[in-house]
Amino acid sequence: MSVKNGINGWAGTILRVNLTTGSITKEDTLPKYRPYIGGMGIGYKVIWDEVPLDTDPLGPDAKCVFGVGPLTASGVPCSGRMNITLLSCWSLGYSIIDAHMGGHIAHAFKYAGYDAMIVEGQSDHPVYIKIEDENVTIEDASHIWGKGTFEANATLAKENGPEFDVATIGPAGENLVPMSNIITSFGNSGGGGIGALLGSKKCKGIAVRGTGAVKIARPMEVRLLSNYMIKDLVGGNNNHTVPCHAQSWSEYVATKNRWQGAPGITWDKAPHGQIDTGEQPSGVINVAALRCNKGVFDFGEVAEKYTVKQGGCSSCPVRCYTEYDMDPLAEYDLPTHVSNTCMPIIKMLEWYPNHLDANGESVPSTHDFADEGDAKMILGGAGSRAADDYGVWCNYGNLYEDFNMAYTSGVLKDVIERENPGEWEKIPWALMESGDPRWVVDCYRRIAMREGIFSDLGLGTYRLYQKWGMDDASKNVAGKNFYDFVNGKNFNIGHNGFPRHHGPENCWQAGTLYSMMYNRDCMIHHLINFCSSGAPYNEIIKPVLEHFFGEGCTDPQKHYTPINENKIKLAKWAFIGKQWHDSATLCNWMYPMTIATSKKRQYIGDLDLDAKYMTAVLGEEYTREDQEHDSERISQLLRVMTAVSFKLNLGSTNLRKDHDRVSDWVFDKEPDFKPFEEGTVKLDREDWEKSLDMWYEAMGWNKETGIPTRETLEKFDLGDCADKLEELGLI
Amino acid sequence: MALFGRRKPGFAKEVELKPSEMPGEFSDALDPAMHKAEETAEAAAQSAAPQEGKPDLLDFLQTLPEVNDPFPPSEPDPAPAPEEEKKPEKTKAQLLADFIRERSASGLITPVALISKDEEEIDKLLEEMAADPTCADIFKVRGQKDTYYYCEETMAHNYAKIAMLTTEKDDCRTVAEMVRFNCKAFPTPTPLYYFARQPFFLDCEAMKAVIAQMKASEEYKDIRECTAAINGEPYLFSIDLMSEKYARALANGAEAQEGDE
Repeated sequence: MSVKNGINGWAGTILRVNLTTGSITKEDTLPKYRPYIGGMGIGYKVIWDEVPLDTDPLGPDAKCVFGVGPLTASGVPCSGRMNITLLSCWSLGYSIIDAHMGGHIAHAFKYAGYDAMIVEGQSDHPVYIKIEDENVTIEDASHIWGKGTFEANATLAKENGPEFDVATIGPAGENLVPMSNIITSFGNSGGGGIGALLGSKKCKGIAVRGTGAVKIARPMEVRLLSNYMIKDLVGGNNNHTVPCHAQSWSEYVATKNRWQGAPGITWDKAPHGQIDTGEQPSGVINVAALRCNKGVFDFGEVAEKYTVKQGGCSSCPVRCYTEYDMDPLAEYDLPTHVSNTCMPIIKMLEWYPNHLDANGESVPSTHDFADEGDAKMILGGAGSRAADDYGVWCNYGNLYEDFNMAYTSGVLKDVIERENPGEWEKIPWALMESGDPRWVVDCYRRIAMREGIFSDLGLGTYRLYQKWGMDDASKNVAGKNFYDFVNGKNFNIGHNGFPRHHGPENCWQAGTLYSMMYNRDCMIHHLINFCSSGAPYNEIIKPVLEHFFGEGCTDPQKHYTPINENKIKLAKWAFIGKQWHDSATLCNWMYPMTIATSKKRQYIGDLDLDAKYMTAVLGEEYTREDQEHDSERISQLLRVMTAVSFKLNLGSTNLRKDHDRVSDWVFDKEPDFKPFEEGTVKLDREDWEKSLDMWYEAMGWNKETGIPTRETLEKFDLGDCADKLEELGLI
Repeated sequence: MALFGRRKPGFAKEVELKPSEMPGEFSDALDPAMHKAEETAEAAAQSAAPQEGKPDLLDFLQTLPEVNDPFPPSEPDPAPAPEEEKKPEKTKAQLLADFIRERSASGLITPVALISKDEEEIDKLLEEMAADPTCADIFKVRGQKDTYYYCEETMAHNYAKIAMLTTEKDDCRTVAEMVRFNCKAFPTPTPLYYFARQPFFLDCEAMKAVIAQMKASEEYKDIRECTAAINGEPYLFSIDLMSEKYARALANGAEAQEGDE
């Protein structure tokens, strides 16, 4: 570990575990991977060097790379993130993607002495990888194969010791379901189909214990920066910087945001009795963890009744995972202790669309449980627990939106009855129609166990639409192209098989541009965080953002304006910044510190903070320019690998046409409005093409194809990438 | 249990629990380290207490004869420090400022009516306070019924204004001012449930009455209602500051939590 080897920040060692041969080897992280920082950067470099991009993502030659970075476990707040790089088995082009997970395992991994672990080959029997400092072994996992993740994780912790942090895949991964994940801690997951990749290797998971430490060049400086960050800069969940209930120290009150902590907002099931979250002024470090109260944001004040506490990841003061004890679930023999912070708990009503009653009338399928309006929460609790236990990933909600759209349009019934007569009648629709939480559990079971045509939902949007004809209006009973049609449930950002994740719906052309740059949902929070921060646009957001990026870089909600250079500057900052966070590793749901809570700072955040942390940890000057250069290198590599994948797997030579195509609904929604009119988020097609032109120019890509030029790649020492592109006729 | 952050009167009660009284699996009684700490503390307390029959050390030393120090200091003892200058007593105005600061720290504005109860020359006192540079952090906000003082170090100006509005219990004015402010600053229409939260505490019935009163008043004719299409949640906005179309769109977006999952 770095304390022993004298390296600041990095642990210094990369593990390589070959599950075919059983060999376990170690290599140095530096200097080879220094230009790639860590985490995602290391993962991309390894895949680029070692895995041809037409490799079967679930075949024996596929690899995945678990990675952390120099800031992970270095005393920096919100650094409890682990990145996992792999090839997609479910999205258009089957190209490079990442999963990421929080919890505590990233810190454990770093303390054990590793920056990354390359998993390759395939075992002939179920195994898990056990890491205990320098001792790494491949252990038998036959006794937990087939178990849900909660039981598997508990078993590994019991067998190895409670000091181990563990992460396992569920039956979904074991059964090679593309919509599968790996679960750690309490509801923390890495998605993207990593479950299926590990399942194909018969690797149930990992157990990590690290007793070492990370060497930090200037620990007092890290401490002072952390104090400064928590006191003056950081807000609550998603860095919302204005409280949602009036607090006497705060100039502003949000109408609706994630800073729900306030006098009178309580954790009713806290172990020693109810806790009132009180006020959490800017400038006071110890109260930051009381701001979030995610349950109240998701479900209203009814969530207080079941809130035990706010959980979260290592080194994070924000605590965005509400931990519940939901009594009503006991009546259905379902676990009552549930925890999640995102789609798996907030979108479960999508599994309960209205149904037709005996009179043919459309009626709701849900009902209140113990309190008025608590269906979303109770069904959310049941659904998230089941999803996590079965190890099913939701593709940022597309899984249930696809179900909802297929059910309500009649496509689901048509396909099932056609492909597997008799299956439809065996599905327990009465559970759905009665709002029974066991319905959503059954849905996840079917998907995880690949039971029936229903389980095709687990293929993921791209492959599902192909199989069920949902990508062609002439091939399904609804007569729709489900990528393009205007529908409140259609969140597909393009035809690639994943949804928007803070794209055009909140973040104008900027959000749409970076949403198109990946091979899964982008998960970029740079813009949405300040858009939804609760800060007033005219008095804070606009002046602060224009202070950083120039006039016109940002738009108010639902009142967009045509593209301009400063919006492109903002979009690029967010795009490459995401690669930085997943390489450093820092939580992108919190960083960067754009808007501050501090009035004394005029609410201006500190975009140099990340670089300051690097300087303090490494003990050498690391500027924001360095950070952006290194991050852009990784971003260029992402684009190169996408281009190569599309060529090898689809025969495509044009990413602009084949990868960056945006769904029609983005331009056609809200027909009562014109683009750029007050009240709409619809974009204009001509403006979009102009945006792409300006974007490609800013990124140094060919305007026609959207592929990086040799000149651009050479700037980042990626000449070998340019050679490959040339070899394939792409440049 | 402790209330983190700043306490508001009436929101929690404090109960002191000893470690041995903690229930269940979280009880310190189960933690051997805590037992050891308690034992060590008890033992230290016992050994510190004077034991019967033994003289106090200092008393004993006092009884011994004076002797020459075989190791005199190389430098003479420093001269004793001069007595600290006594700080001047605070003026009445400064004490008043302290009182206002204390209340502000608890989230309370201070109405003149409160402080003039025991003070005949309140106007003069307030002028003195305004002129005193040590009281530069004390601000005031004028309401229709009174003037209210607060400390800007611990209370935001906008919050003081909200506190003034809610103190004066003019619900129509309170709602209208907040709706207009939100339309201008954010911009956003304001959901009715915004006013159910602290410090407004206006429930459904109260808001119905407020809306009815505002509709009947020329002063509030700019305040209009709209509804979020997705769930029927009612909102208010000012037609002088925002179009109805925009208000409805923003309300719907907020209720749909569009993109804010």
